[in-house]
Amino acid sequence: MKNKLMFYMVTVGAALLTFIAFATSVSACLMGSYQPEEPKALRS
Amino acid sequence: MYLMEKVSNDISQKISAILECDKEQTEIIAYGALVLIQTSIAFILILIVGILLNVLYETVVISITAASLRKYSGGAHSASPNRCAVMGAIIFNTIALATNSFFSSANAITIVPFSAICFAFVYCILYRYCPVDSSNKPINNVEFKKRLRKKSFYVTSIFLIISILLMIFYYINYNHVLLYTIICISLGLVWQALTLFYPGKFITYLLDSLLIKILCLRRWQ
Repeated sequence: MKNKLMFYMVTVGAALLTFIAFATSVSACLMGSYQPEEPKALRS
Repeated sequence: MYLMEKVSNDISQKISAILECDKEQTEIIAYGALVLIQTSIAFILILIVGILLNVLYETVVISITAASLRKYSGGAHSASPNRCAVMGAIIFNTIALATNSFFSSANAITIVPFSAICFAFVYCILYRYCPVDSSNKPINNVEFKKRLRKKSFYVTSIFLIISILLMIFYYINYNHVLLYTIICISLGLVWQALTLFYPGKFITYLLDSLLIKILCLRRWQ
């Protein structure tokens, strides 16, 4: 039960981080003044 | 590699191990984690300094306005995420303090022309320079560039409409905070427009260099 809950939490976390990465990739840069190197898969 | 990048890479490695993701997916998760961590730290630092200097409201309005435009217009960049966070706190709180000192007793007669000049300046700079890319995220696609340019103008126009509405509300209930908010919006946009060309890039470079030398942040990276 605990492992199952952990798995769901990690899945939701991964989905959230992936969403943030994709949302950032369609903008010119980050909102702050540092731009990390974008992963190749996200380059347009 | 910076501390924030190490932390985001660790997070993505742990998530990937549990979900059995491939290399590409791991990189995307790490990028998302870095964006989340860096943006949160930068914003929290801006808020803390804003609270300490008693200019929280101004700082929040200015930073949200500048960040909204920056998302589509791009601009000058710091070379490290730590210095970026410190620089954001310094710049936005300095603008907030200046607003607090110079415009706390300003009236509509002075604020309307001032804001009009600010918006005209922002539109001119956007027309001339937007979007500005960086070496870590070059924008080569012409269609993407056009889309970002268009969105930058949309964002500025939305803030212009908000400012006009605030001015109308001011004439209804004479609440000085509304005028103050217009000034903060205008200055947030002006700062962001400045980062698109020489003056803003120079200030960013200067602050970045000063932070390296004075605060010895190289050790902190």
